[in-house]
Amino acid sequence: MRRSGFNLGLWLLLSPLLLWLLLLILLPHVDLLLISLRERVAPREYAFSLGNYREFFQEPLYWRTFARTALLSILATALTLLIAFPVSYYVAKMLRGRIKNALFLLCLIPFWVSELVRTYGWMILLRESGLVSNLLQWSGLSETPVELLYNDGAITVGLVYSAMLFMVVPLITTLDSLDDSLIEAGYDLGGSHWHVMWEIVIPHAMPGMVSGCILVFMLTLGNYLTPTLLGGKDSLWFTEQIYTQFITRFNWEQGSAFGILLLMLSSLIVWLGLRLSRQSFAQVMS
Amino acid sequence: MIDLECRELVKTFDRFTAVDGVSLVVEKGAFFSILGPSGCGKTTLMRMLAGFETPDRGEVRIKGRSMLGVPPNRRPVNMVFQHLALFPNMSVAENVGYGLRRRKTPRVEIHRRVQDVLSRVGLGDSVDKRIDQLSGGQQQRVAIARCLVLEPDVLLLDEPLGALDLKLREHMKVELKKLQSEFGTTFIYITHDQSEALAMSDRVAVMNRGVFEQVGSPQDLYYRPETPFVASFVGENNRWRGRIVHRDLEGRLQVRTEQGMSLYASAAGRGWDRAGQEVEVFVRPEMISLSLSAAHEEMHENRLEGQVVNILFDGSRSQVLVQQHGSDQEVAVNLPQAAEFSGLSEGAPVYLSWPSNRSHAFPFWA
Ligand SMILES: Nc1ncnc2c1ncn2[C@@H]1O[C@H](COP(=O)(O)OP(=O)(O)OP(=O)(O)O)[C@@H](O)[C@H]1O
Ligand SMILES: [Mg+2]
Repeated sequence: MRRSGFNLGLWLLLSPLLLWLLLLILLPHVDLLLISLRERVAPREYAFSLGNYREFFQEPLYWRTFARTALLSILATALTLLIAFPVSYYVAKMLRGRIKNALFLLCLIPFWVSELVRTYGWMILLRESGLVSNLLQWSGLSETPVELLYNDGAITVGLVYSAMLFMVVPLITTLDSLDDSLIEAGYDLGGSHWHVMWEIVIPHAMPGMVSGCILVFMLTLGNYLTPTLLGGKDSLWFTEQIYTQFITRFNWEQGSAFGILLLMLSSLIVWLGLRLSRQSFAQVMS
Repeated sequence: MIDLECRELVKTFDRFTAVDGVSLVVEKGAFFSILGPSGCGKTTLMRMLAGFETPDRGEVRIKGRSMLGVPPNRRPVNMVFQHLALFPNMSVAENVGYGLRRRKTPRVEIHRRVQDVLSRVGLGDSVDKRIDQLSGGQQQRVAIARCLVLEPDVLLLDEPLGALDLKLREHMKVELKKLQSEFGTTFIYITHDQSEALAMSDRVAVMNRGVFEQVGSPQDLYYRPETPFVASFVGENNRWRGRIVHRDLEGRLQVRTEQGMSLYASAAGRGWDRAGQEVEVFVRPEMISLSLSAAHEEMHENRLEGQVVNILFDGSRSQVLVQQHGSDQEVAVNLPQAAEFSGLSEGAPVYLSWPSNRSHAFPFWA
């Protein structure tokens, strides 16, 4: 009797979470999968078909965009890690007290404004009549106005910038939890900066690095705003293709297939990343 | 041969002087302790020796070589940290081998030396364990082995027993001393526990507020304290305020305490011991002999009779509080374990005596 009572309480407590998972995550995806596997044969008549997936592989524009999105996302994630690690190490290990908190806050400040405004900031800097272009002309490095927007570089810069916070926060948190005396012991026993970093700091920071990378990668892969604004019409970002299929072409079947493919891609890459860094998902997310 | 030498080391943290002009000389193979209360600057001093802090003034020399500007990873000293700082992501063997790997020692030799040092500290069968599978005392020994395997000129230990419980601490005290004499390495040992310092060391420096009050053998500190701080910090004491009544030709002082007891004491230092000078007198409870009859076998200068006010039972360290007849003076005395004292009760008459050179008088400047 008591056991069933206990179970009932547990289920009641879990119900909001389960409902959320079911209604907002599981159902839409199942629906997405079902839609992606059908084909319209006549108005309001559908049949099972793999045609949408076949279309993806047969049309080079689609799978090239897909591969390009994946590669640029990986590149942006790696760059974010490379930039965020020294910054986080400096904030977490070299600074103390007031200035440490102040700098940490400073990292957060850009994220108080919306992503749209932040991206617009980059456009102001990089466009043909923008700040950087004017600076180049003024200093004599360039004769004519330079267009720095609408290329892969601009997209990458924007992606790294908009994802930085999600790398810095987990990194600072894990690095902060590393006991200073471990680092000192590393030096005391004869280690160089390189050894201490490689054998003591990085193994300790690994869970933070991996969870930061997963977050940044997923956000980047699914980002729509930044690639569209900074990359222009031809930015060839996969979320744009999905948007086009759903909204412009009104081809829900094709759009759903793209959505499922994107989901599979991100799961695959995250799984590979975890395997390569020998971390478990539970460990990284705790 | 001198392994380590410091001259006039000073370290200031924004206006607060943590170490204030410390000089010390440690001979090869010695067990040197630095004893002092919490916050007196012990760790700061040790961190300057290891190279983690740069002194504002003064110099550190190891084996005659100046350590000015030499980073921690190039100094021939190793440190056992206050909280051990074992690397949690490495096994016992990897922890101990860390320093050897840094020196590009061949893998076969690393394996042999790690195995060797671990069996010498009694952990030969824990080589492949993870750090969190070891007990506190075992972790302690891994931390020490990790340094000793590098055969440093000087090993620095910062309160290494602080985190252990009392029983284990007593055990490790013996163990550490044994390790030190086996390896023959120079140990510099920080502690705030006087019994650790007295039991293990060849020489002890007593530190207070950033300065060394006295450096000497454990016996020196215990029997011949040079400052009131050393007298009160090392061992237990009766501590009385009083005034010099008379100074005899041998330099013995006759002192009258505020509570009205008269006693003979020896002066620490000279030049200040004039009649009328206010003094503080320290007498250890274990220096006073207690007897139930007036006839003492030894005739000490200081003799008094009184009655038992209180008995503080603490096993072998039990004490009796005695009040002198004719004054308010209370004296704490160690209770001997002999059978004749087992029936001692409050109010019983007793006789105390102790020699004048076991009561130390220091000038008291109000
Ligand atoms: N980095 C620092 N910045 C400012 N003050 C410091 C710093 N390190 C130590 N101090 C101060 O110097 C004094 C001595 O510190 P230290 O750590 O040397 O004491 P300790 O003798 O080792 O004490 P304990 O027995 O508690 O470990 C303390 O008052 C401490 O507040
Ligand atoms: Mg300390």
